[in-house]
Amino acid sequence: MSGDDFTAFVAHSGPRLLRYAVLLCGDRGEAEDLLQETLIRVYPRWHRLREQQPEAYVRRALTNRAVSRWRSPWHRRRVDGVPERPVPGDELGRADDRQVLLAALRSLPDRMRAVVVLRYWLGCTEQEAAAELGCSVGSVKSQASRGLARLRATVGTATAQEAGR
Amino acid sequence: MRDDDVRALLDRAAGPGDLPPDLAGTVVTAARARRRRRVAVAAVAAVLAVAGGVTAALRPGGAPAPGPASVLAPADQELLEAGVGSPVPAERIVAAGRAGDESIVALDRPPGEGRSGKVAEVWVSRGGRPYELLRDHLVYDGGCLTGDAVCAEVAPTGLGMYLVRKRDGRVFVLAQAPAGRTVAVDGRPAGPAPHGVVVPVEAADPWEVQVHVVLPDGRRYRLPPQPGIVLGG
Repeated sequence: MSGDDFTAFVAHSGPRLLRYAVLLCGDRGEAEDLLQETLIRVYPRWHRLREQQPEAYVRRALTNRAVSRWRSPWHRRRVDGVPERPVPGDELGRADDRQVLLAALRSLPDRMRAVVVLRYWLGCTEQEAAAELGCSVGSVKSQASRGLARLRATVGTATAQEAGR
Repeated sequence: MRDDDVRALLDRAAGPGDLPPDLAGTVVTAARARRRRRVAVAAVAAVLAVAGGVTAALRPGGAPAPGPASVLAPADQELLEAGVGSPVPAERIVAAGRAGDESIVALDRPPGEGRSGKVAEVWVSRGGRPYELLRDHLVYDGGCLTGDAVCAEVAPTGLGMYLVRKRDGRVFVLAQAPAGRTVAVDGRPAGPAPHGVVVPVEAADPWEVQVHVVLPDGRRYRLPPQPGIVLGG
């Protein structure tokens, strides 16, 4: 098993996978845990995976693991209020801005969030998203449409609050 | 909000993607420790099994009470657990079989999720890779077709389930029926299938496939087609 190969893979694909996990979880800390857990499970099979498409494989494993977590009785969805919109323009402002967006994402139900991320961030087709999440195309269509509407409303409210200040 | 706007919004929300320091090193160390723990647990289990076997053999007329064994081969069980991400007890496996170049397993969904009827999830594996979730909600034992008196009569004892797998132009049926009954797919007997049986079918429309369960006394009932039983992809 080549540890160097794996290290190079993590360095190269890790940031993309982490960003995917952040969107999937709606939380940076949870996403780091999810990615680490997934990589720990993938590593023993690395010698076989590296010849295939390891990034796609790990992304799929991340999705599966996230879905399993959501089903776990220990999982309690955290729905925070959307924080107030920060003053934009500086680095701190951008970081806070991300928190607003992540909170808006977190306000979506888990599966709806995953559908929105797969469809609009990864650019999956409805069929691909359905295969990734193990649900029907019809379910993807309805969740994507409702998710987008809810995201638009949540982010729009935060923006209106900012404008009214 | 257009699709591009949503993408840009999500891109901002995803942040910079800075990895925790030495993530790869942490993963390698943790994976090796995990492997050592698993080997140790397997060794202890093997020792206990041998000890249990010896004890049973020494006890006159005694034999260890057999726990339910998985219907999957050990290698397949390992691939399933790798995909699911946790141990899969034998009781959860509703049906399993091999359809062409892939293995299909229907797993009972864990209890505690409020619902009527039983719900399975379907996992598939190809080419020795870990199983992947193909469908996460497949209702079975959920009811009978209108007017099927035999089905209504035996429903309390469980009906069985089936799904239709359509892939690369081929169609397979994975069917399961309670012990003591046999299965017939499109009128052709497929034998007993307490843990599932796979039958290739010629069907222009997979929804037209009919699966019947035959009771020991020869009466039969039809398994109702449930939403989502036709699995493509």
